[in-house]
Amino acid sequence: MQKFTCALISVLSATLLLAAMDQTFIGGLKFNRYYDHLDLRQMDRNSWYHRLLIRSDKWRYGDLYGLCYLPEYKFKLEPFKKYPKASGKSVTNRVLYVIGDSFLADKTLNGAFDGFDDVKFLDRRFPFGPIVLDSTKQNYLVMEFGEWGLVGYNIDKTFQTMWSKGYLKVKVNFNTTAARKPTVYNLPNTFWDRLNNTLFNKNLSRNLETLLFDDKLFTPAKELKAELNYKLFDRVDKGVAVSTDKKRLLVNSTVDTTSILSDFRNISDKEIGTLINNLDAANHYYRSIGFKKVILTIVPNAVSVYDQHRLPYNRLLERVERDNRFTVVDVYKQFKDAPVNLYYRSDTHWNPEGLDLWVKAMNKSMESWW
Amino acid sequence: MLFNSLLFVVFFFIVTSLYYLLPSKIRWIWLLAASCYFYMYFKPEYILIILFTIIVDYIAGLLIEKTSGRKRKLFLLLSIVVNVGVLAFYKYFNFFAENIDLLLGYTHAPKIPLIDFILPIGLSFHTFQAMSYTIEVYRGNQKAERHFGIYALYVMFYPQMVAGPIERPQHILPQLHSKIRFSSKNLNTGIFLMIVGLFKKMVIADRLGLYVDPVFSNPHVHSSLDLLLATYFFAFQIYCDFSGYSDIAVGAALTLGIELMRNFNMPYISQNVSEFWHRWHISLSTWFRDYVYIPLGGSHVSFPKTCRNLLIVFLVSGMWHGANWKYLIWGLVHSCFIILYLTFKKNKLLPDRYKFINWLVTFNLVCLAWVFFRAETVADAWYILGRICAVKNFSYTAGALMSGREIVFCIAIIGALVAGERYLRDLRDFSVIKKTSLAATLLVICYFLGIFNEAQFIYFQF
Repeated sequence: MQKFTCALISVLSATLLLAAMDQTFIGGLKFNRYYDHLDLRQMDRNSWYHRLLIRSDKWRYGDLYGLCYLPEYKFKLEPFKKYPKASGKSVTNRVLYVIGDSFLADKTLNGAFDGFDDVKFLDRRFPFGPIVLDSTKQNYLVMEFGEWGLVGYNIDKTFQTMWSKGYLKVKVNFNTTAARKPTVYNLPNTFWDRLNNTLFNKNLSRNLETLLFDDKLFTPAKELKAELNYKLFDRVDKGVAVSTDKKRLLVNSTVDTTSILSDFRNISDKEIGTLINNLDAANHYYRSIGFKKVILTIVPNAVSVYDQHRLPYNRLLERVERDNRFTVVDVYKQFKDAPVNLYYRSDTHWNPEGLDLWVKAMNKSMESWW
Repeated sequence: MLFNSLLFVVFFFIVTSLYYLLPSKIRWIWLLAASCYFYMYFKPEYILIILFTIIVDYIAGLLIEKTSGRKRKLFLLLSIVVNVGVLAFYKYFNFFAENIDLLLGYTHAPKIPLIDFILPIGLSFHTFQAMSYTIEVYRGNQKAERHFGIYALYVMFYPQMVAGPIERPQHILPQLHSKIRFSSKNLNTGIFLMIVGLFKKMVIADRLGLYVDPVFSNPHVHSSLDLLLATYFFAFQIYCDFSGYSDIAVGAALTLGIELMRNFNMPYISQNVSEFWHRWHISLSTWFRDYVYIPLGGSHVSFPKTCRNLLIVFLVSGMWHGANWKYLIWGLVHSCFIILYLTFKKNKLLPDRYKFINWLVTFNLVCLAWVFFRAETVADAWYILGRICAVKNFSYTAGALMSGREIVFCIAIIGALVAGERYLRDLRDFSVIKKTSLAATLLVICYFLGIFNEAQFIYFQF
């Protein structure tokens, strides 16, 4: 009996550890759990894989809820409106490229803008290849930034100019032909690197946690722990902050004054000047490769809209938009004055109303472009 | 690998269960392989450093036993030079280079280049354990180990290789050779000890760290009360962190049927600083006692020479903790306390009747010394002590770091720790039901009130 128990424990634990070492498996698992709540992909929800392993509450109620598990901020995310291409729309011979971030990722925007035949989204967070423009059409570009994503922006440090062979294989967004710069973000190549990355991977504990506890079965216990620590000690997960009016969760790095991304960090005019120069360099680069017009639009942090009086606000967004070197679609004032809630209360991002307001503001601004 | 990580839990299950499935004869291979993985998880390349010292000390042990007279001494010396050399190179090279540069700066001499590397984890611990082997072989208290694998396991035994207890060969080697039978008592006592250790680390040490670490990182923005509280809290943070580690180490070893020495014995109830050192980090204190203090003459010499010996031991002990002036001063402060204590004792000036006062004075002196240990720099330490003594702005201003309710909780949990430790002294004799229910309670508290940030153990850096 004792030997049988030992054997069983060894086999189970070893299987678990081997699964945690398999980065491809873990990556796929996380990916599927993330996309499960978006319901964008046709997944077989009746499969054993789905029934056993894709049962996470990490994303379903917002990324900030998924960090802190505070039950009072457990709101199911409303799905986003889709803006598909209208069938009878007249041809404009204009294409809009959007280089953006998580605010616009996974959205259907092809028919969102009246003045354009199509919209192509490029996710700045992942590598994409050289943009090959359609020479038969007029190409426009929108550079969309979340406010905190502006900090430290420099086109020379983006993936666009730093492709590695490893990432080229992944071919996110575009097929690419050649790397412009030597490898920077390298995937493990040598045997030693692969061994190191498997056996001694620093994420093994996190992978085990993903395998064992990222399941809705454990959500009540996680919520109880979170509630206890919040009510007793005013503590929430370090990635999250509660707004002053207690109505929503905020990204802690946009609140914490020691964080470079904070709304309340003192930003000098010199730093703003450097940032504007970097944005202007991107503007010139994109114009030089053939874009007719480059437009800047900044999505405010939720804290800038709903909790800016928490501490002295650095007004990064307004100070950047004030520069007249760019065409700017400014939504900050409209967001502040909006009578409805524009951000999810348990997520970093805007909600469907927020996106819709931005689309309308873009369309209104575009009327003056031609 | 950290004891307070999920990876360790899985690792522990695999290692322990397979250990009992394997025949006794080959268990050492499995334990050695597991220990190598445990160590390599921090930085795989550093296994070569430890392998080098293992080979040197293994050969040295054999040669010391074989030879006599001056040769015997020479081999011991060679082994010590290699061990101390490795330690000095990795731990102290940059410290000495910086200080020599500072001195030579006045003569405009060229600078000594610094070496950029991460300190191998637990280097001081396993180096001292290795040295203890060759010294004991030299003294004739231990036969040289013939089995290379067993000797390697003595140095690398995973529960204690990165933060002790620093064991002696007479205690461990026979256990590694013996045929260990599965004992459910060892298993449940071991697991219970591990849970107690986790509780100390995650519920007490890491929560206190939420306050202590930011205050000591930036003492200039805090009031006298903030700093005083941080000092007292640090005393318990470091105790729970280190004794928690030791409990997990002792428990993990016990599940494998191997007994390690006790490293802590309620140090904060000490009546004097000398007693504190009999209760704090016992394996290191006895190491210094046996291999430095007694060879220097110990207390069997004149009083001034005893004081000199104490000064040497504590300065070396301070240096052992880290290549920084603050540790040296911490050692110096403790040696002064003990010398003062001995002077008072010699002149019969100690009030033996007032136990509470003795305890209070001792505890505060130890806390005072901790300021040097924890502060980022010596200048910070002086600032903190000056600020506390000046009693300026004696109000609580660190509400953003820790709420009043949490402070009260911390104080209550420290109280519970003091009471609980007395109760747990006889835990080996507890019934299985008692152990299980206590362990389950502690685990539940660990989950709900523990800090899950996989904070490294403080003593890993040494």
